[in-house]
Amino acid sequence: MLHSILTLVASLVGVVLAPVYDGLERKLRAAIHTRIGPPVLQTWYDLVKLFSKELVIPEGGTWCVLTLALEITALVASIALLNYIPLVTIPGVVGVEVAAFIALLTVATALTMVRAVAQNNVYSVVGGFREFTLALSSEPFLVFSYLALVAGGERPVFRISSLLILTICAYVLSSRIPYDIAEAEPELSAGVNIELAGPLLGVATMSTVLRRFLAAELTALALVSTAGFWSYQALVLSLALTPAVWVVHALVSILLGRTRVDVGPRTLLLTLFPLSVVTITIYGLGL
Amino acid sequence: MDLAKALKAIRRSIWVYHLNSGSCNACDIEVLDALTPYFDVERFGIKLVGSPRHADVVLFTGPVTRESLPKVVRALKAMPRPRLLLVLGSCGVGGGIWWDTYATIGGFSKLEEILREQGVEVDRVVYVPGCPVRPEAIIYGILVLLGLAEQKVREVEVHAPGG
Ligand code: SF4
Repeated sequence: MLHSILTLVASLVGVVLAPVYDGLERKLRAAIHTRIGPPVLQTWYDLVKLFSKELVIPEGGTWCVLTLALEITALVASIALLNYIPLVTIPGVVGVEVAAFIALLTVATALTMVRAVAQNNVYSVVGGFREFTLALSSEPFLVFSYLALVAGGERPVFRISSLLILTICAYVLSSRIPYDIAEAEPELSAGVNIELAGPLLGVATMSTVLRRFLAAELTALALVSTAGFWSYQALVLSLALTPAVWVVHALVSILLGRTRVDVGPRTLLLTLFPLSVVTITIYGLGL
Repeated sequence: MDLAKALKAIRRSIWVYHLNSGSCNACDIEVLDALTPYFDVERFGIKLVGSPRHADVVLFTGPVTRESLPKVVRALKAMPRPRLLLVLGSCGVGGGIWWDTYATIGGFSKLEEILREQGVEVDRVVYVPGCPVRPEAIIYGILVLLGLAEQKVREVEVHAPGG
């Protein structure tokens, strides 16, 4: 019972704070550009505005609304599970919670693709296929590294190597430059989100923000668990570390430029595949 | 719809969509200028978006060429209510130097009639004249459109002496 309440509180704090962290990122970007930038609560203002606008159901409406609703539910549920896992599991054991977390994460990505194709707009379909390419080139490695960290045991070099893979994949999961190709606003006219308006766009925006929160918290939790913390300590420390990881993600995205659309996935494969081979070899060597 | 209530929510988060209906591109360069870090419009919550579905305000330039007319109507139709328009430049306002050529319909005043016929309601329009418009005038126009700044220009009736 206590675990469930703690999970609920932690997840709620995450959902409320995620748009604030996004506002901080925009403020940071502005500071680097030497301008004032928007208020820290700007992302919340955007969301409130979007929910107050007219509801326009795009072509392929039922599918679109359904997938959007399922996608946000899957994301909130995966944040809740991520908070729940250190409280109820023993390090080194892959339980049903870990499997459910991986399943929900994959489902959320798959739903983005379904939503994109359901919209019946060529830009959104292109965005959907880009999402698919990115998912193919990063999600298997994300699952591999996460499982390696959960079940890897006391192998310091193996853990650090897995952590490196997870850090890269979490950045990709956060859909920032140059891995925002699915909805690259200036280049693909909003891609997967092109037909969404008002409250529907509000849900899609919230889903992007939550994905960023999930990516930051996942990295924070991986760091904390590699440092030897678990249970309550891990939860509290990872929540405290999440804004710091968010800031690092933001800094990387500000410093990186937009690349040609195929360069992102290709570079990912060329980096993650050899890294995974090295990690497996390290495991084989028992390091 | 309650426009005052709708405007209240938009005032803190203004997403603009740039719609060029066949301008000479000088006004468009000024629009881009207004969106550069130099003017930092993000401090007012202003953000450029790539789809009319996301737009709160349309930055409208050009005298509406015949070629662009159907696309312009479609883009405005795609916007969710409230539909707010900032009509920019002499061309947008009244056709400019192309007001009576065969290739244009002659600016927003003519487009307004067509939109009415097609049942596309526009909730509020603010005109920003100039050839091209100044970036400061664009920002000021947005603030007037949303009721954040007072309109300085008033309509004045002028009678000829003795008339
Ligand atoms: S108003 Fe002047 S600058 Fe603007 S589009 Fe027309 S001709 Fe070009």
